[in-house]
Amino acid sequence: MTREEFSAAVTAHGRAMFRAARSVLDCDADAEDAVGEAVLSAWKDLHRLRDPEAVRAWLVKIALNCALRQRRRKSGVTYLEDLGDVPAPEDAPRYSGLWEAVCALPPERRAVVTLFYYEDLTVEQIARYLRLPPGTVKSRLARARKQLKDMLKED
Amino acid sequence: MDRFDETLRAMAREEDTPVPEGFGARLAGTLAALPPKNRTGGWSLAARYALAACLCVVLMGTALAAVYAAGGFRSIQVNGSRGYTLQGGERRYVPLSSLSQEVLDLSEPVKTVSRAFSSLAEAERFCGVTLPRDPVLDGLEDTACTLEVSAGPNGPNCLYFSHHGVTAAGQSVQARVWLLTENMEDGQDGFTVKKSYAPGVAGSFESYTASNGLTAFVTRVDRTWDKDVKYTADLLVDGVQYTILVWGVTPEEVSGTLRGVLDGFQVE
Repeated sequence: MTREEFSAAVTAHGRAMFRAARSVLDCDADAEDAVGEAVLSAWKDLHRLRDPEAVRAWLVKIALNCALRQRRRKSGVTYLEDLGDVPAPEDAPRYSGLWEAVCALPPERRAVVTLFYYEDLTVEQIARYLRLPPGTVKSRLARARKQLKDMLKED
Repeated sequence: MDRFDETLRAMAREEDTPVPEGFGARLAGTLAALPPKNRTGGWSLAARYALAACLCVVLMGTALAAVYAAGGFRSIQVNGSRGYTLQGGERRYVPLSSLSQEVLDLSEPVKTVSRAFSSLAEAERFCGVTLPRDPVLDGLEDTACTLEVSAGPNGPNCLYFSHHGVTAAGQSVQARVWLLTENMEDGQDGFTVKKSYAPGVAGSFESYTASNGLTAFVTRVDRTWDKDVKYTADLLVDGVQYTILVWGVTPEEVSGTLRGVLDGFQVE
């Protein structure tokens, strides 16, 4: 893959990389930092991309790993933006879209939901990406699904 | 996969996930700064990342790297109802010789390193710098402060402080402070900062002149997915760039706390 092809791939899938990073991080700025780190990491390891057709999944996985690393580094920091509980269904506001609702999920469910619904990954693939037992992925997905149903239900 | 899953996947395909303002431009900046592929014996990944980050700071100004006129903004242009542009001004660049040996030792060439402190004052002492004083920020409780030191080949470029805490009244406050060093002095004029709301988020922009003469540009965000109101103020205090964020339940309380922070800055 040439530099131009790599740039085109990153440009095309930058939003997906951001979404993956944001699903494990608590603010947009951190997610963007993780994407920046992921781009450089991907460029360095470009020779490891065996199948150019799978470049999106590869970039998303790198972004996710960078975000997870960043989360570990900042594990002692509580972002004030994120204080407060998720609103109870009865007084929850209406969500204008899926992403808005996903962002309101607890962090451990956000990543699972993002990879399952946005990246069309299987439970087993998500388990590998997040280094979780498949059973944990399933249970988080089930809880998130129930919560999303409440959040997105129409009157 | 049940029917609900299919509905969600369809929604996911159709929706455009919002990204921060300027994300595409900064990504393009990172791509433009990629090192040549055939480079040997070059910098580490972290070094390349830091270099790209530094270039982004210089070229894109980061999300908030505004240059303000001393004591206020040179110009404010509101871009329709969803964003604004800030331009002009002068910043202070601290000489490397004024920094403590501890922060110089912590700094690594072409890297960004971070360290946690219990307060902004503790981080300042570590760095050997004194930031403009503010009694509200100094009086926050349950504080934590992260220091990030970004360095180029010649040493530290930028000391970034992220100071969190709560007021006695229970308002959450964060001060983000960018203190640039002499290494960032060249080519630093002519910054333009643009900010805008993500789709679906309501709010307002306004300019606030504090009792000490400082002018801050204040953004109010009425968040749609939780109950919090957020106010953000961008300003330059004695040449040091600040972003103050305050969260709370009612706009009156939050704006009152923010005004207290802005009015409290002791300007030289």
